[in-house]
Amino acid sequence: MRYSRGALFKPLVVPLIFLVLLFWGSFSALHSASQPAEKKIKGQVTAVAVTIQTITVQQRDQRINIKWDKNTVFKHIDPAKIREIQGQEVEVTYVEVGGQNIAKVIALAVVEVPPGAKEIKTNELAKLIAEKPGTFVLIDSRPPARFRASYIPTAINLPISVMERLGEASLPFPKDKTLIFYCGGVT
Amino acid sequence: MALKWGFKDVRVYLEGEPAWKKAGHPTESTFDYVRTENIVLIDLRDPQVVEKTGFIPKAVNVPLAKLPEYEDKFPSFRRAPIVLYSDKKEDALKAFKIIREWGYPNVTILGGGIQSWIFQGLDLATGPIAKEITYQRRYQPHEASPQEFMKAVQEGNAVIIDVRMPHEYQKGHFKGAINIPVDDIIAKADQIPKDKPIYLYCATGVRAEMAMHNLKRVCPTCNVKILAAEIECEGNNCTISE
Repeated sequence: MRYSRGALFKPLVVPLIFLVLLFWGSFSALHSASQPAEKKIKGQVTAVAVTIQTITVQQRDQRINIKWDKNTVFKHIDPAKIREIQGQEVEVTYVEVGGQNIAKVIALAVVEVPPGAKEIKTNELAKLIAEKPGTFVLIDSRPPARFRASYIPTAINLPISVMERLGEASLPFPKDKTLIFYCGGVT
Repeated sequence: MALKWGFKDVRVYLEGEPAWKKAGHPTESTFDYVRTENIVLIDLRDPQVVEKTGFIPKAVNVPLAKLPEYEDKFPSFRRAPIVLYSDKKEDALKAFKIIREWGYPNVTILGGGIQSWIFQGLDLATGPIAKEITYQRRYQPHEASPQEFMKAVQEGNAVIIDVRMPHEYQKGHFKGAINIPVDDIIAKADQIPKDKPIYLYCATGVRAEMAMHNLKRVCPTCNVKILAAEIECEGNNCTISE
């Protein structure tokens, strides 16, 4: 018996298309089900382990480990110098996969100089402190626990929380006095 | 805020205190910090002056001229907080540079020197001043001292886990330690005996702490401590340095 081409084609192709559709459908359903929800954490990096591509981020008294991989996007961070983000504030977008947190985005918190204020660099500040003490007020905005251990010479401690509470009274200086603010890093 | 309140010249040192230290500039510590914290306090003045005027309680006398001889007498723990004072600011600055170069990142200068301390009416000690630096690092509740850790290794009643990579473990590890890399600790948590104290270690303490957070997530009641120190192993012969 001779089959025509079309007769052979039909019984094979129809179930094949059906199978492909079924497979594709179930695959995409599985895929979307396994796509975990993105979470966000903002906090301080307390540890960086390059060997296992993991950082620890602390938010209040909770610490979590987050891994980075080749798809992680770094913002304001040079991946080659990732150790330097230790102690800095970051915002991490991550997903939990098989009990592990994988970073999608690790962004260093960057505070820009507000309009109207000027940025001062280390060398300029060192020069001012050495040569013109008393012509400016240097203000350390960090919490007292950080200030007391290590502050820049001539600085006074005015934590942001105190400034917010006291308002304008927290800066009892003439309005033409130079004020220089600093805190704990590029945050 | 300051701009809103009408200040005309407001500047921001964005890089902040860490950049200041990194550039090699000195920072200062407060009187309250010196009085209440577990620190190494160094009086850089000559012994005759110290004897005459008294000294800040808990200070050790290391005259600036003799400082170079003291390098091996400084704490083995490099991150120990060290505060320097003198009656001459230049002396404190000279000592600061030397000690920073020895690799102590947390050396600071007492703000205002001993003069300000005296003017504030703060306590002075009299009599013989200590000549030897003694520093006892205080451990967090989750940190084991090297002594406690070595005792656990030798007695064999605890679970010692090396959380480094297998190739690091194979090169050398503490006797009796099992190898569970950080990333596997959650998956293999059920293989860890829960009725014994658990000690985690790695090369520096960083990964051990990460492993501890992971383990605590799946076993909140586990009695886990970490060795917060650097290790170097050849076979079962390991040295710990803080």
